[in-house]
Amino acid sequence: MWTDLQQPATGSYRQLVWRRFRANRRGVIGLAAIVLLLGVAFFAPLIAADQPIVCRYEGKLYFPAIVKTVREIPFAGWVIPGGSPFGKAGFDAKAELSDDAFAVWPLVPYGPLEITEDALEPPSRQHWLGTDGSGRDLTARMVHGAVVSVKVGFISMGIAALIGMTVGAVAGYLGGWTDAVLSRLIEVVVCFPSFFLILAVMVWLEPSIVNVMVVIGLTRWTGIARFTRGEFMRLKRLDFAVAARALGAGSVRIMVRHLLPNALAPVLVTVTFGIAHAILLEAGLSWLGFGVQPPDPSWGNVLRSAYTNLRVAPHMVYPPCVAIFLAVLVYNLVGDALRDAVDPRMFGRRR
Amino acid sequence: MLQYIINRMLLAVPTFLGITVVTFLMIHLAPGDPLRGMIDESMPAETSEHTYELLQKHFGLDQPLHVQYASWLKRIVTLDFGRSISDHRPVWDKIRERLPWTVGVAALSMFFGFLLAVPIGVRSAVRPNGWFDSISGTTLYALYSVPSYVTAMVLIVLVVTLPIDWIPIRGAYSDGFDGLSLWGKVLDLCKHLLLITICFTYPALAFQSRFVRGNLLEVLRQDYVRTARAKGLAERHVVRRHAMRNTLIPLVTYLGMLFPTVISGSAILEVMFAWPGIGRLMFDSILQRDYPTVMALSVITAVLVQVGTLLADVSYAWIDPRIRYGGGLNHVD
Repeated sequence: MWTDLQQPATGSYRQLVWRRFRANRRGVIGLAAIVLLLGVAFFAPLIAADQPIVCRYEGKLYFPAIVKTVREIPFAGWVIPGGSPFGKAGFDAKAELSDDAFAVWPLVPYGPLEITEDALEPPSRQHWLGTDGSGRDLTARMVHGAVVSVKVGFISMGIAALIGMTVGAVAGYLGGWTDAVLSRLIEVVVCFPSFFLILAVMVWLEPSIVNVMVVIGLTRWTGIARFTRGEFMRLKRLDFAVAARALGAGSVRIMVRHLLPNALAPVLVTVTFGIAHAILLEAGLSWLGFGVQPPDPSWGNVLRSAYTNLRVAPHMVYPPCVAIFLAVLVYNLVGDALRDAVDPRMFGRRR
Repeated sequence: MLQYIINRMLLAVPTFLGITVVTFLMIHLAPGDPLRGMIDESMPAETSEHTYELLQKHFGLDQPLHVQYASWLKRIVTLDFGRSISDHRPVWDKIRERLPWTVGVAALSMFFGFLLAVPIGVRSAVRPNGWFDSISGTTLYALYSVPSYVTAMVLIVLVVTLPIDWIPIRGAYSDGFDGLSLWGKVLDLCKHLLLITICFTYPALAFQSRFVRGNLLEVLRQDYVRTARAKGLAERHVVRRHAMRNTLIPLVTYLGMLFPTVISGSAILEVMFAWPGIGRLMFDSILQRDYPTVMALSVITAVLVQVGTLLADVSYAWIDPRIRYGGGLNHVD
């Protein structure tokens, strides 16, 4: 960080990184796209649902889609009363609401699991992206598939970051034999090509999104560990770390309070690229049938059903392809911008 | 130099043991008992219990874990991976007949990757930030973000919907392959190779051409290049004869390291194109719960990756006299 000192830098290192990040147009666009993706995922039940957002039924106002959205937040089910949004079990809003009743429908008035009568329809005004083999609306499935991608990306990389940072920090800080042993461990995990290892583990596990997230997390931490290790080896020799030790701070305190905040930036870069990779892996695994199981939607299994109906409904191929590509692209853009922003060697030099 | 290679080799031993221990534990921690599945359930309890014990003894499963590990290790070193559960053929035979298909595609795609990446990289480096550099850079960057299986799907759809039906989308050869003449066979293979080779080639292209560009830019700044220019050599000559040589070697090394990854990263593509390679074998074996084959493939690819990394490190040190890794134990790339 010595280069920072030469600059008339104001503010903390974090502000500095943020300022440099903002100067990168590609990165900012990528970040905006990620926020948009998160928004779509978070509000998926409001964007595509088989229930109206607001409607009048028997003289009362109901908010079925909103209630459904809130109930999908973990633990919210304890607070919000149970049962169907209308207080009726098995209420079918589409059949029972009269046509002239007041109702505001979501942008895509179909649920991701809702089966309509038109199977394998090409895109039309009713079904923007067409329907799949069971007559489910593709737009709704794509919107709800975004939820899976976001979850897989963040949770699996969360697990990976936790393991990677712990292993890397301990190896880098303690050095010596601990480092030698942990470095061997990293090397062993690196040697297993991640996709093969994930597939191999999937032999024993039931295919499910949770297992996919855990397995990706358990196999993709090595890059993070290497970065953290390198940073810790560098940082522990710096004056502030030595000063902290001289003041009598314990190893754990130095590692967590003093070194970790300074090692976070490069780790964040790896994590961002890791999210892109996790999204790609999840879609691939779901395509192979080891990930999210149909009828639950995921970009991977939408692509799979497109592959199955290739000749009849070629229109189904494009939406998941574009979605996966864009998701991977925006995380890569942000990762690149972030890498340039945290790399002190790049500072003050325009590419 | 020799010291470094020896150190590196010695370090490979614990890593190799680690790989085998991980795989071995994966076999043994697996829920479910493969032997139970072998016993006929209609047998009386006493007989079946006796059979179970005999089977246990036969497969050595009554031994303590470390003894089992030692004998397993001894067998896999001689490439004896046991017999497949699904069709009782030796696992190594199954792998061996799939290997050429995967290695073939990998080699082809690396060849084409090299063929394309070098000119692109050189062209970009000669005029950095020029129009060619920015266009190729942006295009390749976008391509790099397209997962290869997504490209594969789009290519397959295009073949199906456009009038280019002569491009086959499934398998490695046509039905009447054996009856074809030599040229017919070659043509048939080429047609089948077309799509899958494209999908294997382009993902690495961005990285490779940037790699060439970066290296060449660095080399072009060196003193000996300035000397070459100063004595009046044509720019073309300087780039091709003087600078290129020093950029190609790292690329070759990098490609060598990539090879095992290409072999293992093929599962989805091979399933999509119904290609009879290693990745597809892995996929089929998982569906059939064929543990010996799955474990054999895991060990083999992991060891291949290890060997690739080792060779890359050693050849780097060999080529570039500036690289002399000291200490050994603390070296992680």
